[in-house]
Amino acid sequence: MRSWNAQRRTTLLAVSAVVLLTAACSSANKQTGDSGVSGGGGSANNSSRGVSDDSIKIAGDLSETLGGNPTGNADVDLGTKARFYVTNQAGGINGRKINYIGSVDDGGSAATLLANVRKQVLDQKVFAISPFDTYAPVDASFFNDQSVPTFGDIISYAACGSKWFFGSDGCVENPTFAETTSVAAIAQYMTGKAPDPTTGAITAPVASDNPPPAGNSYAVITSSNLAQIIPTLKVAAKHVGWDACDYNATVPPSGVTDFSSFAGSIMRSCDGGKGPSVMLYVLPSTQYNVNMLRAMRGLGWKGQAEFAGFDPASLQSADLAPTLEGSIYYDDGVGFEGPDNKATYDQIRSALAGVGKPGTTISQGILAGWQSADLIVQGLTKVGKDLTPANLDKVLNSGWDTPGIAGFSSALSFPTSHTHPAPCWNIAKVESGKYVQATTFTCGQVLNSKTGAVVSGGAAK
Amino acid sequence: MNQFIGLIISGLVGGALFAMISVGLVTTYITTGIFNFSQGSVAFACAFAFMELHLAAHIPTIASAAITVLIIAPAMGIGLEAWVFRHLSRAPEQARIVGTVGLALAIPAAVQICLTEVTHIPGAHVIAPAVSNPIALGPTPTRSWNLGHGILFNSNQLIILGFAALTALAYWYILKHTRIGLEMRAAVDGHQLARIRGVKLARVSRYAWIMSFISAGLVGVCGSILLGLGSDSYLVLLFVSAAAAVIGGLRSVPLAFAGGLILGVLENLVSGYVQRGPLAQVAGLGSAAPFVALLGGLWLMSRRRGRVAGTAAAASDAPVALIPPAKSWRNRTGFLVLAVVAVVVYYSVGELWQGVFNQGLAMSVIFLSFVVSTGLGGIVTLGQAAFVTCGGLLAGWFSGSYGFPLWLAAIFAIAAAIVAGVLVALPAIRLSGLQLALATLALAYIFDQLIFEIPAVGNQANGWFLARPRIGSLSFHAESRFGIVLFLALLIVIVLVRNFELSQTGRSVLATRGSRWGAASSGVSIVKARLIVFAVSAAIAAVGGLLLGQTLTEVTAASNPPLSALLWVTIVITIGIRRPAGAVLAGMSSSIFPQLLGYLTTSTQWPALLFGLGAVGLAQNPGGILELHRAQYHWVVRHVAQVWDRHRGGGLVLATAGAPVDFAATPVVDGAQLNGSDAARRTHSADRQRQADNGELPALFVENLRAGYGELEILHGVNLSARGGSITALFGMNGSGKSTLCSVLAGTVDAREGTVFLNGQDASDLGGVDRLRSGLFVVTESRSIFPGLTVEDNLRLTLRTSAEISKVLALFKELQARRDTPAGMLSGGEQQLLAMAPAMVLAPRILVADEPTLGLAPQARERILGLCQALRDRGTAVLLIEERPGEVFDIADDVALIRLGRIEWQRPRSEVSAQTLVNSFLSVTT
Repeated sequence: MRSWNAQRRTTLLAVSAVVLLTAACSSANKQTGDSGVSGGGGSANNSSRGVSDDSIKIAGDLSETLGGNPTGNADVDLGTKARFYVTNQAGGINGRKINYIGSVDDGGSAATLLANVRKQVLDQKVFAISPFDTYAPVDASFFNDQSVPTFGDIISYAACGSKWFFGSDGCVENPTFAETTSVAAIAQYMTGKAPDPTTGAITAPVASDNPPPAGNSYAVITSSNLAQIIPTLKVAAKHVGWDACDYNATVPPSGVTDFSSFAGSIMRSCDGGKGPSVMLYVLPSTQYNVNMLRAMRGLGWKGQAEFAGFDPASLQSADLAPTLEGSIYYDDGVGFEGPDNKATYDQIRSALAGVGKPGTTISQGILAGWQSADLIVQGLTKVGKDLTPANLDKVLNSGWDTPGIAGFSSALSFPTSHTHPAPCWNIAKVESGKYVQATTFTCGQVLNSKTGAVVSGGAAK
Repeated sequence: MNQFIGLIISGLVGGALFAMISVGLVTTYITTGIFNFSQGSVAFACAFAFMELHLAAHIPTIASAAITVLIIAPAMGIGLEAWVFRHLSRAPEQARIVGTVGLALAIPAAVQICLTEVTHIPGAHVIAPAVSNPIALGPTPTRSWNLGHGILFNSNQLIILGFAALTALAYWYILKHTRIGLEMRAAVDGHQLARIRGVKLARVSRYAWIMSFISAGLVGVCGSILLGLGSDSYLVLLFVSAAAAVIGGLRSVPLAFAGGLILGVLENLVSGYVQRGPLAQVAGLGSAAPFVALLGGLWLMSRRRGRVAGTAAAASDAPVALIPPAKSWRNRTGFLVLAVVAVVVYYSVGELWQGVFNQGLAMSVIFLSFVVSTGLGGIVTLGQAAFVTCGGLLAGWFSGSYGFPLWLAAIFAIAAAIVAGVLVALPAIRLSGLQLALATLALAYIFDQLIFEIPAVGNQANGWFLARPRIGSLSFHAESRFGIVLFLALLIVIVLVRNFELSQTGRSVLATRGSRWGAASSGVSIVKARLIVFAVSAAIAAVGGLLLGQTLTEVTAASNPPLSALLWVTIVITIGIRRPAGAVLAGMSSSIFPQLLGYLTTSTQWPALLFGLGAVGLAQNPGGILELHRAQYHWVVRHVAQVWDRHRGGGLVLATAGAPVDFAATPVVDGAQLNGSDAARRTHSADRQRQADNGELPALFVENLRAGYGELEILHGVNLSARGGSITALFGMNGSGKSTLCSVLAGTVDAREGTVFLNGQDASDLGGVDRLRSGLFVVTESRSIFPGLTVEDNLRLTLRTSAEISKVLALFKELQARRDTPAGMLSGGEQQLLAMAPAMVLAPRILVADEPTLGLAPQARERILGLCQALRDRGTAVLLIEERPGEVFDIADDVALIRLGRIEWQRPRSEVSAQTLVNSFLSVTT
């Protein structure tokens, strides 16, 4: 046995030697981004990855499902396609047409996302990534190594630090800054007044045609992977002059079969058992949100339900729609359809017809896709004819202000918006089974999440 | 108080889902020995069938539900029973676990692939529309009622509770009051005896599967409202139901049902009451509660000395293969060539594929941990993901939060994983097989829900960035450079694993696996061996997790959820885990395969489907694809050797040096010999048939019988006869082959050569039912009764009509008096009476009784022998097999002596004197 072991060891040593020699020889020749410096590497000559004389290759990454449950992100691809269609019809960007090869699903898994992005950049050689709407935690090192401009709804905080990520609402999840939009939105809705431009406070009393809860208290139910938004929401609530309920529990991301224990707990933590005046529901699927809402209503809760984003499919469901009647939806990305943005919505509808999907219900996914596609179009137009990652970095990161679309999407300013959120919002209400715009697109202030101090103010649109 | 009641009521609803799954689990486990890990996935498939029927075909919900539960679910059950479960039930336990785990992954993948791929066909959204929200079975909108004091209830919950009650009632009725239920209970109570008594075990299994699939279908139809559309929650449902089944001791259906309800309530109470206070941050406390219960239940089960699981296939684990011998010189060169080729390929492909290979290398390290735990230790571990996450996440946490250099953080992380491994091993020391697999899974979930959910550990769900190594100014960040690190790490781990296998500890692990008692009596400590296996496996998995995290540059608490460990098990079993080479091949496949598939299809479910099916197909072959091919190669070699030798006219020489000895393989028999005896047999049986028809043959005639177990032959050519209307007494000492002969006659052991004639008919191909019909009634050694069934149930199993049962009870007053007592509680004499009583009514042509008077009081012995005489007077051929002559000698008409597997003589009693008997027993030749 001993001699066998020795023979084995010799073999292994021999093999290792071969490997090391080959590695040393070949890696001296290759220079694929091994410096590890953020944003460095990549060839910097005229021919750029994914860019030819007449086309720009773009691909997207989405989380279409999370734990198997559909997230509603599948439509983002369609919205992107529609927006690119409009640009291509008008001649493209500086003479180049956009070659959008579609988006890939990562199911919320970081490993899948990385594999997808690697394939898109290294194999399919795209120039940029758009849309980028994923729930998977993002690690920026690959994007930095390969200089991949990425435009989308940047949710993951890890992506905020990189100069290559351009979020259509800025950096939404930076824990330094408070999550103000949902609170400000609902406060504005319930009082009928926009926040004070200087202090951001909403001091008017609750309008009388809304069910009058006793006191103005605010609570949120969310899943554990978004637990960090809870303390920032409390700061935001205080900022508008409301009370935040002392409730911190979260639901496991895979959901539970029964929400009554959570419902009971929230009722007891707020207002001596009456529950919060407003409650924000941010659970992974509409079904869970509705189950939770039912549990609350069953306990006699009379407050206002607030949902993030909106989900037309749920209004088609005979089971879910009745519970959702009277709920508020706020969106901090795009404006709901109303008189102030009708032109944009008409444009979206005709673009959808142009890509072969006339009459599609405009869902939140389509709007999000449209919005981030609009951003990349603005950005690439500004970079000009010399379209390389290095030039894009130079042009867009040295001071790029984009006004957004009137009544529809927020104004951004890079490089600040790499790390700051764009605090804009608007509200729709579910009335007779349809979404009806309740407030127009309004922008507010960025607050420090610990102290509540105003960091920057946004002009109301 | 109101909160308490409210939590209980709503907890019962979740519990009802668990209960419905767990009764199916227990029923199929006790009747077939297969613990169906795919029960939750079946519910998932039924949920989608229900939804698609409603959405696509516009069938109203109630009708869709009925079609799903009454047609689709049973059809699935019958199909899977024929295709998978029938074969699995004969496989070793490890195979049964892995096979159903593979199915658990393959079924949802198949459903999702169908739905995804179908959307690519134009117009297909009409046939299979996408489902965005679950569909309620009850009225929409949902009706709800406030029961006062803050307790609420809605129509969906009512439906679930209703279905659960219906399931409970149905199972109770079927098991207690129908024939098939009686046969199920009998099969559980005494597997062999049930076969002898004519229970068709295949039919019983099929009914058990249909029952369990129907209850899974019910869960799918009414539970999707609560469970959602993700397949993961149905797998979690299964695991909690497994905990409920364990509460029932994996044996009792009513207890399993109650266990499901209890767990639902427990989970709700825990999440309800811990929401205030410091533990509120830990979201998973409620969902971890059932797994704690599962662990507790398993531990309790292991302490119970008595019989645990019911019938469970008699097949023991496949014999442990010896450690493969050293490779020949020729093989090692091949290995070197392969390595050089691999290196050349690696450095010529682009960065994309280098990344893919790197991930494969990291996964190979993880799979090497399976070589230790499953390949060497024989433990199917379903919880490896916890150790993998430990390695990466804790290293990230220590270095990210506390600023340790990564190498130091890695050491701490690996140490933590080893501690975790020991903690897993300690409560599981006494467990084996299925219970151990469940325990490892439970522990993985507990880790996942409790420890990894702590916000600080997971960096608020953002995860940690893991940097690749850097030595001075030399950075290993580039894919090609990092590949070297991975390759070296893999080599080191392989060497360590091989050294471990060959070390004394490794051999002691192998010894305890082969035979626990043998190992214990040789002084090998089972406790130590098991702890070390878990510790080493955990350490390797942690190293793998760290390397994987560096390959992907980040690790989060959700990077490797417990369910991913299931997929790993299927991959590694499909490819082969006996050797490190299998682990490496599995690791590379797990990374390369999905990448290749990505060029062909957009669905991400194919790996789960293909590896799942692979696990199902290859579960029986623990060497996986690697050994399957090796076995085929060797088979070809042997076959060629046979043909060659036959040409040369010589004997058979197997020239396969170096092949591992595999006792489970069917022995190679020279074709010529077999054919010869078949032909001879045929002519003989034609003769015998003629003789029987002429009335010349005795009722029972055994000719030249050879039989045995495995490699051991016990009967070396037995010739025996018993005529109708006579008592033949067969005497023999212990070990002479009496019981084996009885088993052959009963049909539970096959004859290898020779023939058994029952009434002139060749009985070789007859099963239990047919032997009964030929008029054979067998009373085996140690009481042929079902101890767990009542006296009446015992009779009902053997006698078909209630008229016959009444006759028996009338004949035997003592049985009448105890008709509702479990047979196990009768006295020895009463039990033997119960065993033989049916014969009085059935009037068999042949009665074979093995040691009928053993252990009985004199009065009881008299009674039994009186029965035999009564039967003889009616014309039955009675064969009594006894060790001591005693009173049997006195009533016998013919006497025979069996010694060392042969009948020495058979003579009429008149020709046998007491001295003859004594001489024979003392082996004195006269």
